[in-house]
Amino acid sequence: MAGTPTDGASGTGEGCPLDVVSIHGAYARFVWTTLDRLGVREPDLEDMLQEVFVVVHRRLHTYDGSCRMTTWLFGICMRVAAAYHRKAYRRRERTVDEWEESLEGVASTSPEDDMAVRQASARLAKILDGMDLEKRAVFVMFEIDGLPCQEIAEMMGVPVGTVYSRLHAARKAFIEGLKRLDDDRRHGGKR
Amino acid sequence: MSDPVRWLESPDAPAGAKDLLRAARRVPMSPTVEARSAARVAELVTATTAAASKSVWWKWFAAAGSIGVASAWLVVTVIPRMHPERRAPLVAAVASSSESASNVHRSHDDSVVSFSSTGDGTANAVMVRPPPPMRTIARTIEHAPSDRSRNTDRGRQRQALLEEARRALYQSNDPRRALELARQHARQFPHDLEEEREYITVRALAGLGRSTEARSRGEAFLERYPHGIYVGPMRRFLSTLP
Repeated sequence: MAGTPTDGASGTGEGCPLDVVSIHGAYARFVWTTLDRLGVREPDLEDMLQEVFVVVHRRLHTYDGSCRMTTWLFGICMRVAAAYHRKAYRRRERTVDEWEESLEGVASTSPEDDMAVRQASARLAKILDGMDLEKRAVFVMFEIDGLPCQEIAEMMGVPVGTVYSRLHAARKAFIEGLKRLDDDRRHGGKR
Repeated sequence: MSDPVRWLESPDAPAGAKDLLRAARRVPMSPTVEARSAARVAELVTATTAAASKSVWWKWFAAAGSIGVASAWLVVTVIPRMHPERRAPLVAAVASSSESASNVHRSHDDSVVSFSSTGDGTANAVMVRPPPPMRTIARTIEHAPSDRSRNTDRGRQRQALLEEARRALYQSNDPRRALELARQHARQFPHDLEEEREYITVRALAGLGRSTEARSRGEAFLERYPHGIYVGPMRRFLSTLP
């Protein structure tokens, strides 16, 4: 699966020069992947990436090295993504369909398969959009990206037990969302 | 505690969940986007640095301006008050400091006193008194009236009148004119420089030949200003009257 937590980065802040240009060089892909995991849509990813590094530039003096750089960046990504979802709620509702339309290049063997993949992606996006960001992040990293819980815990700066509990809650929310979508489709609802 | 089994690998995954998870798609970051983002970040740093240096430059400019304004204020306001003799010329009084009739000139605040001989016209000595203590200066500034310029003009005028009277008496040898100016001064500034004015008046009266009146006013002067600066000269002058 595309995107590991340490894409283009060592994952630690040790030995990394503390200037925003260097941090961008080392962690830009990590930030990009994290924003993608947190539900920032493709057309907005570049802007949100820039937003994260504006915050990094402004708040770099507060980074004391007591945690991993990835953990610090993940916290910034969480706040930027939360603000993004608050501001872009209506746009997100509109862009789900656009996102569905934009699914090009997906490996498929036939038009029917292609359509099935598009529909599945759209449904997954709707279910994930129904979760809060922390649960969504844990679920995506564990179930989709295949990261171990220990690594997720270090990245988020929380105990591994918290990751387990969030994963449990996220799975429950996922099942409820899946059931809701099935009910809507069964009752002829559009969504 | 070990991680739970992933749904994609578990036979117990909810129905339909595996299909959705397999359809998940990550958006890769293209090198073009990465380069563009890096350029923006570099611009951000440059702009911030430029803004910071501009801010520092403005701080220095403001500090220099403040110092300049403060210096100008000191030069225009405070220093003239501390050294009024630099603006106001010596005004003075005239007195016989010896039997050869030396003149005594002093400024209106007694900070400078000069003695010169009337015989050959050369100055013999200049005594500069120390300036008043800073506390006095501060109090003077603190209680300075707002219409400072008007008071300055008034002070110059009262000094000029007595200066003119003194010139009329000693340089032009015109005691009538000196008396007239002294009386004008008394009308305009009845409570200012009274001792100096009265001394000129006595000398002018004597110059007009009104010796009795001059003596009478001179003796009244000695009673009124027993510790004044003109007591000695006045006594010596009265002793020369017929």
